[in-house]
Amino acid sequence: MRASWHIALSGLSARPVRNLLLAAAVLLASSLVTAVACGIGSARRSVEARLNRIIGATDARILEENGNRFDDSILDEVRAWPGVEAAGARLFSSITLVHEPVAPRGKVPADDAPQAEETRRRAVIQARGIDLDTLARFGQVAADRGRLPSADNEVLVDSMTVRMLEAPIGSTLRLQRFGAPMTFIVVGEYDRPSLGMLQRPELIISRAALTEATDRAGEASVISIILDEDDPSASDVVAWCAANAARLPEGLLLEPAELITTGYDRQVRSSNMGFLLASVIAFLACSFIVATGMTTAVVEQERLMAIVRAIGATRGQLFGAQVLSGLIICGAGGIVGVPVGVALAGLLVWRFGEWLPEGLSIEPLGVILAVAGAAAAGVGGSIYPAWRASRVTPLEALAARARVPTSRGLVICGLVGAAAVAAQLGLALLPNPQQRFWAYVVIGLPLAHVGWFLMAPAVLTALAFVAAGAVGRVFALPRGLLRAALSATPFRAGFTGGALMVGVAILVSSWSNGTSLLEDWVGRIRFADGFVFRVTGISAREQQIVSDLPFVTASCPISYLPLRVEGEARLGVVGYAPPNVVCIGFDPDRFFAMTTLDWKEGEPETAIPLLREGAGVLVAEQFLIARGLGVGDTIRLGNGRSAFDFQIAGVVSAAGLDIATQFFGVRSAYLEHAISCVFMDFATVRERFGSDEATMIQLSLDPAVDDQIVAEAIAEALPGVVFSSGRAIRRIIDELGGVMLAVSTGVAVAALLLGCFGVGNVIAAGIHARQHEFGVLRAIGGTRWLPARLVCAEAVIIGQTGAAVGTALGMQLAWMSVILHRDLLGLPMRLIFPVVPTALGWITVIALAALAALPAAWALSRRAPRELLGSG
Amino acid sequence: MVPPSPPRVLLHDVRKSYASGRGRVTALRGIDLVIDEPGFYAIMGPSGSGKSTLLHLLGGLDRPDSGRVCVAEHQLEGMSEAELTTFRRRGVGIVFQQFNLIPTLSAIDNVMLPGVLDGRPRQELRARARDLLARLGLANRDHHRPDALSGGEQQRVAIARALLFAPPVILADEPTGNLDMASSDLLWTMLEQIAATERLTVVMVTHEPAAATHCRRVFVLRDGLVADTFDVDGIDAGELAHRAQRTLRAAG
Repeated sequence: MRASWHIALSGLSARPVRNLLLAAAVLLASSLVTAVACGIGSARRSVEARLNRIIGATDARILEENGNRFDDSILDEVRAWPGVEAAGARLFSSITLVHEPVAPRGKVPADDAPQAEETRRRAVIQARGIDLDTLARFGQVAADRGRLPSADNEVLVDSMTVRMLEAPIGSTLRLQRFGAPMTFIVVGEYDRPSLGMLQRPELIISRAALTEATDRAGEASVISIILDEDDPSASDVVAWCAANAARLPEGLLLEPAELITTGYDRQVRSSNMGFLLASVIAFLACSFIVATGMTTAVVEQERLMAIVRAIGATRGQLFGAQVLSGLIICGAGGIVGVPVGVALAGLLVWRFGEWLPEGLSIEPLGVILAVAGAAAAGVGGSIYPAWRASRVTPLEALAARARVPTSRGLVICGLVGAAAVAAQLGLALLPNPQQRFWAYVVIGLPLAHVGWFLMAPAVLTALAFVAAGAVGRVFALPRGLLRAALSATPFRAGFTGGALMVGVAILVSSWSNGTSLLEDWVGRIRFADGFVFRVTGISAREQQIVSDLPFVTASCPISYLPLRVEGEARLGVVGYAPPNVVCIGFDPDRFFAMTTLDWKEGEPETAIPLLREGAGVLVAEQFLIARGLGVGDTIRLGNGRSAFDFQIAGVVSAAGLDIATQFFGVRSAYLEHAISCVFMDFATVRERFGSDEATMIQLSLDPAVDDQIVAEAIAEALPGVVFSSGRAIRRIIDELGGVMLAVSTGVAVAALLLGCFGVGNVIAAGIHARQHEFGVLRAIGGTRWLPARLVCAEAVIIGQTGAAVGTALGMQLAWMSVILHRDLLGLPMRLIFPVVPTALGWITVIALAALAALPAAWALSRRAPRELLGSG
Repeated sequence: MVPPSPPRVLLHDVRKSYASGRGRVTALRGIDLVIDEPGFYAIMGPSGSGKSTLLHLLGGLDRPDSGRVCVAEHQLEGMSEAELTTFRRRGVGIVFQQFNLIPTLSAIDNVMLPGVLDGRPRQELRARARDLLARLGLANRDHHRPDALSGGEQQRVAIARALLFAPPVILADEPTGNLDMASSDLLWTMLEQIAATERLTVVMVTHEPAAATHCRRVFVLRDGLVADTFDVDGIDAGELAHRAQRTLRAAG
């Protein structure tokens, strides 16, 4: 071991600059991984916080089928279910609170005191009782001013409550009830979208306090559940709900929350998956660069190694020396790279603070991956050079003849590479999606990279045959010189090109998948530019007023009408059924022009005509699950006065509508007592149930008109009606998509730069190894710039090789990503070839390779022929 | 009666050929060579006569196709790869034409290197290396790297490295090929003295008749066989050269 250390340190000190270049490549890779981990972690934290506010972190929830309160003793049971990470109960109830804005210090005035009457403010408040220890975890609650409650006597109130009770932060509120007095301190205030006259004031309070205040011990209105994302049994929320619903007592329902129905959870998991893959790729790139650099060094030092073998070094000592060299180079680069990566991520977070309000998140996984990956790159990248060093025979110390590489070696290398690529493709045939993913990460991804890397020399040889003539003319080289030079060292040049392939591969695959994701998924989450809403309804005349506004290019009225499913039994009595579905009435043509529905079952071609005829309805998935029905079955819907039969024509979800209703709080105002929806033609609602009022109007707006102007115009045209912008939500989604693509492109560029460290190093080593050859060129009359132009021309062909192999690898990675997104996340994607990004990637990698060669080429041009010849 | 000591170097019916292009080149055709006593010996012959191949076999750098190769009681033809490596480290010292020092190591570190590879204590190695360098006239140059030494000095460092484990046999492959005449003469004299004072067997491949005059015996090779052997007792370089050429002409 000591001998290996001795040889390793001797070798490292012999080429300090080039070893520093290799270490710099590793540093860049590890800082990249760390920065990406921290960047994605920070972005994810900010996105999750934003989603928490908008949609909430809940994956599923338990409700009473009629919206009533139920026994909360089931909570502990639910927490013990497989796959459950957290479960929390909420209790909703109304309480009356009193506030005296000016009161004698330390004294609570009696209700009948005359002065108190003048200043007393009283209001009935909708209280939402939440277990305080779950407040932050389940989201949707945040204090815009002040803080969240942390004790039973603290409350977070909405702005409406503050106005009605004249109770800013710090005020003391008194509960009006029979029984022991209870007081609460206002510690925070939050804003809610205004929904008009019937909107009620609201506050957040601990469930324990609300239980005591309302004497509702042992009750809950809803149990929210967050599933463990690492638990395979809970990876599919819909399936998990279906599997666990039977555990509930009769009367309770288990349904997925909006986080799931809109697919945002899958987007978050997609970014986690993306990070893991990106890390593996970054260190594979690093390994290739280290392997190429060290192999070149071994070739360069073959004579010295042969001498050491001649005087008695064993093969194992030489092997160990190379592995130690790799570990030292990569260990140093990896360790230094971590703080650099954290600093880079911190810089990003500072620069994009507006998009990343939650600040920097240092991800332990990223740090561990960075260091471990660097060490693995050092060992992995030095294995082949170590093996090669150990194969050196002592006689090579004395050989003076040059060895010409055989085509047989090229063919074998290419065939082995092709076999590795084919093996990775074969892994895609594994039956189990989870197995497919892990086989891909652990075996497939390395196989694909190694395979294309091994094919690089063959690709370079082919490119040299095709392009060397043209490139040689561009660099004014004697005919045949470039092709001959590349043919003499196809492995060194080819593997150098292979080291460049990773950046291009990341660029191609990320733009292929990213483009498809934005077009296919985000395009699916299509909803209107704006929404107009009034709880009490918008009459037909008022609908026309809105539609006639100059900036409204299209409108679609939507009604929300509580109905009940006739024939269902409650409490053992058939016919006794409060409204338990919400009928959403819409004009199909106008609705589909603005909003996308996901068809879970049924076909729009047959379903929409049934809707128009008034014979069919579309239902949400929960509706079918709760009632055990299917497409084609008949349900009878009524409003208490009349009832009609409808055929279930299709099962849909409207992700955009889900987001809108949740974002604007419509669900909480209207759907508390309904747990599922049916979709019906607006005209049918009017004809059958006598309702032609719209609760909401979806609008398509002139893009040139600002949302602020729209809101003012609508408020003026129809007082009491609330406008909210769908374009704002769409901007958030587009921003997220854009940010992810920008991050991917940044990673690709960094990987290209990483590759260029390797190119520069290998080209410098190659020049050193060919000094005598260049000296001969100069001695027989070549100008001082001839060797430099030759080196740059070789770099261009090397860059082309990297681009070609990288493009092929990128499309293979993109194809595999399409399969994984489909299998694991349920996100359909297309395989797209990104023409423009690929072309830009080609230009960039070729230019960077040529630039990387410039310093060494410049230094070469300044050396005298005698000096070059004397080094042979 | 004292049994005769085994020969220092013994080759019996040794054959060696190499692949070259589409055919094979026979370097040694069943060569026989014996060196019984310590001393300074020369191997001469034209290019392609098998001199270097012979030295490679003696140094454990290559294996014969057939025959016996015995160096200081080590039977080399049957040795494993690991045994040959150990033999090259401790059993023999090799001096190359191109010095073959490690450019990033100092003179003393170059001399110590075989001992480091053998896992010996550094203090012991350093003392031995210093002593060897002093005896070869390099006491003040032990911390210089090869690029700071002249050709003759580098070759003396290589000799010191070869002597580290005091092997009974030293092999020198045209050690003065890259030196001027004065340095060459100094080196030959040094090797002659080492052979005498340390009672070593030094076998040198050389083109130079002047070098052979320092030797005890000359072996003339031609076409992979020993064409002639003669003692160099009082013969000068000119006569030695004539003798060698006559031998080669007679061999056809």
